[in-house]
Amino acid sequence: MSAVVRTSGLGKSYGRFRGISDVTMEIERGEVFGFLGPNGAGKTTTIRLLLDLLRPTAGQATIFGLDVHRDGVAVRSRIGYLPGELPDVGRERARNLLEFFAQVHGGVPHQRITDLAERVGLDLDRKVRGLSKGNRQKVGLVQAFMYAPELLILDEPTSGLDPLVQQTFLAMVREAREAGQTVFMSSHVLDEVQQVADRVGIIKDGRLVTVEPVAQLLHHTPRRVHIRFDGPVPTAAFTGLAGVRELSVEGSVVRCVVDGPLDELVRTAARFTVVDLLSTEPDLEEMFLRHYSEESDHAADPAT
Amino acid sequence: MRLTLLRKALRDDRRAILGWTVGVAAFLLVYLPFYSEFAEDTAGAEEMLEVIPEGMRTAMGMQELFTGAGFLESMVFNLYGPLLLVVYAVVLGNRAIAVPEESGRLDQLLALPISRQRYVHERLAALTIEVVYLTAVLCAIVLAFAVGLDMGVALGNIVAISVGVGLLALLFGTLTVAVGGLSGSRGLGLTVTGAVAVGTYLVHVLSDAGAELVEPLRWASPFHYYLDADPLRDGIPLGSYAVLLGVIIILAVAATVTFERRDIGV
Repeated sequence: MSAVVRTSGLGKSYGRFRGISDVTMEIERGEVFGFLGPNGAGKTTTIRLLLDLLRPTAGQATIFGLDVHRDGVAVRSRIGYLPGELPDVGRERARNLLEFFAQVHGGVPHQRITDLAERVGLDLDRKVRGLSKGNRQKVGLVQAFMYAPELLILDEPTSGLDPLVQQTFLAMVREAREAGQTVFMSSHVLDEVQQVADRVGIIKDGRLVTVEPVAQLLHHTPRRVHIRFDGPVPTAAFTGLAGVRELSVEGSVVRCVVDGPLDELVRTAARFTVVDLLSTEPDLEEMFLRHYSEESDHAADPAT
Repeated sequence: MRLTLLRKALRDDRRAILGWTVGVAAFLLVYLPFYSEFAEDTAGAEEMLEVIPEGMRTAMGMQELFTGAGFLESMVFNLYGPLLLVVYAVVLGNRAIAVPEESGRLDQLLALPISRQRYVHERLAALTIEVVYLTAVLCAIVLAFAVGLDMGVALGNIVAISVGVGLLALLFGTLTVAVGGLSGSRGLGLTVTGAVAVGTYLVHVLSDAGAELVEPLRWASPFHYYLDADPLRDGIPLGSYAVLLGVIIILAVAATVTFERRDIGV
């Protein structure tokens, strides 16, 4: 496996609070990489560095083994890019705009544009200027996918899309992976990343906090557990179990949050008669919130 | 080379170009017919001019109105023609980099497999075509009136001075592109170019009027290279026009170099 995207010590400082520093990561061929972080964390800055729209103040980035600046044109001819917000793109009809993009990329079969547009439900005869945010986003999606590029760089791909189209989009990402394409997508919506990504990088305040396989991330994420017994159970039996917190025992119902394996909790519960057990799917959202709230708790309360 | 960007720029600017064509044509169609009246009533024309103070006359580029060459200079080539074409070139020049950069559109364009250099060059080529086009419209209408009203001006000289207007407009348009290439700010593009255009025009008319203070700066005004060699009477002044062309090329290189080096949309 060779890295499609490789950054080492990539940094960009500008403004007082913006920018990224020391971002080092590798994205492998054929993987879907989710790039997560809240707004302003540096996701778009990283992407714009990869596209040579910004020039780094530290480190370097290569794509397909080529320098993103020196070989920028060659690199970008193999990339489909969806910007976070498709800007005001003029009076043209969607079809003409897409054909312009296709020409710059050296041509795209007509049928491909039509098929993609139909798939996301985009009317190609409408003028781009008059389109709603969601419909503009569809233009952007068709544009990024129509080249069948080796690498897709998608900045907040689902923003503004209705849920049905979001599902279509996720299916398109999966198909892209099956076809051997690499996908780098940024998001602050964890659910969508969780559904398609192989690995996830979390960026916060311009620093890459962690890069992990989604499966592993889920492994040590908290899950919310709800157990109902056939009669009241003693609180004492459940206190102090490994990884259990936010415990509440009300009569025959136990609620808690568990970090890590459920094993010890399940063994303890088995000493009583379990009527129902519900473990809520570990969720990046929760994981994500904790990642940030812990930090901000420390910041807010130096005593902890 | 497929010149995809160039064609796109021309397509996007279509409406603006059409609007300016109508504007320039309307201006000429309204003012040029007055020549026949001045030519018939020479004394009246002189009387009319004398009412205007001499300083103001110079500033507005007004000279004798009853000869063909004097009339065309007063009405078209000294002030209003260059003014219209320069503003047109500046407005379109700002659309090359600064306007799309502020709207975020430039991100999308430069994320394509296009080098910054190619981007600037195709936009400058589009601007050149647009300026040449409107200059040709102006020239054609003036030629038609010169023939129709029997102005007695050599047609080749009308072409010669029109080339000068076109060069002047292209110079200021390219300056706007260069400021956009350097700063990405549409406001700065308009401010800098506007200040330079008005400033250098004032230097020109003030030194015409004999102001000793600005006289040494005369050579620094583009208007000097456009008007002082008197193309309407003597034909194309190769040396002067070469200076204008040289400055355009320097500005184009500056636009390319500065745009190549900086961050986009910061």
